[in-house]
Amino acid sequence: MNRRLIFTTSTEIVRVPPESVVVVTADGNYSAIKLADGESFILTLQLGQIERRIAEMLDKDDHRFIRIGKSLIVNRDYIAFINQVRQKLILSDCRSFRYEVSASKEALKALKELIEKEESL
Amino acid sequence: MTLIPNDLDDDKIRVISAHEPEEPKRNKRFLRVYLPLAAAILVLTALVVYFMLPEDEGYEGESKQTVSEVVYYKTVEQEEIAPVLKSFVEVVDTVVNNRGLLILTPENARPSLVVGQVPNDSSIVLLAQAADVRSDNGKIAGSFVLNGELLSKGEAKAGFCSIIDGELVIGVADATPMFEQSLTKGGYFFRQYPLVVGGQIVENKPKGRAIRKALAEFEGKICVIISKKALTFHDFSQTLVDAGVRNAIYLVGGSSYGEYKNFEGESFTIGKSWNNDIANVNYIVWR
Repeated sequence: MNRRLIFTTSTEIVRVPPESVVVVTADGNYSAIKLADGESFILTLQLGQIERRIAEMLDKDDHRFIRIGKSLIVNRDYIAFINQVRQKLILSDCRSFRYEVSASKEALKALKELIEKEESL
Repeated sequence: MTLIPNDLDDDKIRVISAHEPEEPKRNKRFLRVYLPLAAAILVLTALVVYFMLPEDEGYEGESKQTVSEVVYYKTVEQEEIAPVLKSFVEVVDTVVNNRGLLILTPENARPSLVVGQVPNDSSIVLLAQAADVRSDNGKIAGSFVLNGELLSKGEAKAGFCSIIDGELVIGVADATPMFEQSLTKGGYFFRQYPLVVGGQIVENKPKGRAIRKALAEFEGKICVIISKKALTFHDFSQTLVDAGVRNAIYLVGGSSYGEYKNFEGESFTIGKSWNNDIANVNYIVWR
């Protein structure tokens, strides 16, 4: 996919390559997009709207983004560590950045199983 | 438009995949049922109007004249009555339960936020430091919106103040639509400790004593209330409740800077002014 993901509100537009998006976190009526270069953008869009926008712009065979519960969308390419007991998920490129987020045990268990299954570990 | 359920259970995950655009059923139903119905009603209404109007000859002319007169008198009325209202601060120096309070209520003044140097603006009648500045990185603590621009992001403190179209609202919420509106409508927003909500005390973690300041809703008006002596958060909140405050959030306390102008136009300052190097010191001002 060469296109950029585009998110627009009445006052702003964010254009970012999908590979640069690490995680999108929900915060009530707005969402924060964190990028691999450390930049982050706040958008007055709900996470569901962000998810729909991503789905509209993704290629058919692109499954890199995963919605986790009500408050997270993660780029699976950056998943570095999952601990379902401690409810910890670390997203990192293993070089320059590291984001730690939290999700429910059940969701992290499902995420772990999905990655194990798809990556044939 | 893609069909993705709006919400997802916290215990579930979902791989986001591309979808073929699909027309929602609601829209099909709209085209099939409601659109023809609306068209039929429109045609019917047009026919009724067409056949009814000739019976009221002269109606249109009278209507135009009436509207014209109303507009004319309204304009004249506004010009004659609109007075130039003087902006000032009503100052009340009082004691509540042996604790001295200075209550500053701006009158005929419009609130906004400013960041950086104290503005050299003679139209300002009340100024007080608003959001805290973090000592570790010099950034503003909590979400802060200046004239529609997001300068800082965070919800460390649940109290908030929004100013949208000149209307100031204080409240307590981790997420509030006022934040979004302040961004989209060119407004202002900052966060602080909540002190009083609906006439009830809100407890806060900091336990020390200091001169305390609050942005409060008191007797239906927004005011700044300053304690005369160093108080704990709890004692200050209790004093506000005892004074009759319904809602209040904290403002930067201690020796934070402030100024106000009374009805006679005399200016007074509070605390100490900040070094101009501190870029993110911010103020709520009324002009």
